[in-house]
Amino acid sequence: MMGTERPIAVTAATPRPNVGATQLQAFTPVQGLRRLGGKALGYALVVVVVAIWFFPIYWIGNMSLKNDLELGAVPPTFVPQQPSLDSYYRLLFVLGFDRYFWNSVTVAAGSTVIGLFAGSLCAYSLSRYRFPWALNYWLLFLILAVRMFPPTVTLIPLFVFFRDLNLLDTVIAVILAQVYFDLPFIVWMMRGFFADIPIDLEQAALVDGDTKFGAFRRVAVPLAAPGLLATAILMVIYSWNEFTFALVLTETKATTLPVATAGLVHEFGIAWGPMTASGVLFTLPVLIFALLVQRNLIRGLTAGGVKG
Amino acid sequence: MEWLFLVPAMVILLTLVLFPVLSSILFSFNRVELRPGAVALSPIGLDNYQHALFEDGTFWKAAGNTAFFVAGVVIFETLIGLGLALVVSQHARLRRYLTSLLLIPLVMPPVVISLAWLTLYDFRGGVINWALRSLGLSPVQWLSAPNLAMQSVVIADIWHLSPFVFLILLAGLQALPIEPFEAADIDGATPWQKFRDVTLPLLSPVLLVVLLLRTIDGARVFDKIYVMTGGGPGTSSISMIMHIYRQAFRVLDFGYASAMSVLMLMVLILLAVIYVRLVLGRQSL
Repeated sequence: MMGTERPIAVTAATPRPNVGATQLQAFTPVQGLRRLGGKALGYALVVVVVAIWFFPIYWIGNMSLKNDLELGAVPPTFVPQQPSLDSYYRLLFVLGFDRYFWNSVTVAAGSTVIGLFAGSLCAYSLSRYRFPWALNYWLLFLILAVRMFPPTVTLIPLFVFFRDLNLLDTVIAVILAQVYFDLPFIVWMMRGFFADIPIDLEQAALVDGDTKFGAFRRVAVPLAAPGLLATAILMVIYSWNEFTFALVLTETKATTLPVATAGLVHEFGIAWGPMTASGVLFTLPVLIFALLVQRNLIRGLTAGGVKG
Repeated sequence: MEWLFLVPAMVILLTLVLFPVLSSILFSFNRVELRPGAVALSPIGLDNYQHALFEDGTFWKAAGNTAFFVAGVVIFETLIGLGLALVVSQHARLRRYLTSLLLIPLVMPPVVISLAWLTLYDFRGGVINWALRSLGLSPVQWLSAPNLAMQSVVIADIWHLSPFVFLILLAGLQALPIEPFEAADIDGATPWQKFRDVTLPLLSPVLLVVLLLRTIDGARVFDKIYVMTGGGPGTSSISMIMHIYRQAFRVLDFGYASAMSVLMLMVLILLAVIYVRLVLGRQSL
């Protein structure tokens, strides 16, 4: 069912059966002109698209390297005239953002590990066993629907209960909230990866006297490792970026990067320099991760969209 | 034995989702007070709901803003995403480069995206007003004019999530069977006819799923509003979640905020059920 990659590969790699027809069209002058126009239009489109989507990203980097004087310059300078790392220095050594960075790392690691454990076990059993009362269907139904709830409907009670348990402003609270947020994605993605694995190997393991959990751990998990890695990275990205839950559940000690960065807008008016510097430092790890697993990442990002 | 596999996920769903949702429903019929170490509930029947629907003007302002936001992002993101996907699906090399580039906004932290647009929109030193001034036009109060703030947030969201619609529709386009297109070619269909009579009908299930996903996500917009406008000026760009957030964590009226959450949940669950049935209906379980 996660086979959307395959049809793409097939259409891209194998020549179309009607090569003759396409070539015949290309030889007529009108078609030729249209193709040329189409090509020019294609290039124009690329330029516009690249400009629109690249510019805001470039601009944060540009602003983060300016000094205070230049940040206030009108008109704005498109390249830092006197590049300075002052904003980065202030961010890390005056505003203490290294602490928020480590909070974010802890939350991302903790929620991904817990989420992957619970989620891949659930996904595996849903793809391998048939439970009574159509539970396979309804559990998946519930898990997918949960992702659509307004965040406050769970957030308000969680705030109240974490407060009663003295867990407010701890990374544990943020991790738990994040696990709930991640679980639907993990189950959905991993179910597809497990479904791609032939069941014969696990059956062989069971015949050899392995337990069901043993077959999962020793056969299915290693075979699904690439999928597991892609899911893990997507979840790290999601929890790294998550704002709403972290905003509500933390105050000062467990603040994560998104919340701390957003805080720069209100606390000092707008501290453009540290704010953009934080934006750069905060985005870089995500970009590196994303480029590492680009292909599987697209599969994950579009999960729930084109699976059928 | 295989039941044990479900236990961790079940525990998470019960404690972190089901229990909170039921509590929200309970809170919504009560006045909720936070005392040291405990919560005090005093039942007030439907008062919270009545207040939301008939007395609180900001509730309807927020609902209207949210509807405006959803309409804006869904229409433009679909048009841009579909247009790009249609062009790009024809060119293998374009596909590779643009897919990589457009992946970036999707993995960037939304907070950083909001900050980037905050700098671009800045009245005095922002690039957009600089461009307007160089063209001889007067600069615009993008985020602090009541009638513009919401539109400006919509534009930032279009930048952020058109790539999402693009990627899904591109994958959908690539998965279409090739035979109907060949048949249309043989019949001498124009590109427009091919698009209208072949591509669009074949793509419609994926398109519907994307529309639903973006509607549901758009209805829950919070971080962009929080960072870029704070809901202001006044309440001119307040969204539903922003209003609920304020009532809960600024005004500390948890009962009222829960009532609004539950109202919103009822609307979203309808959409979510349609979405899930669409996605699950097409698979064998």
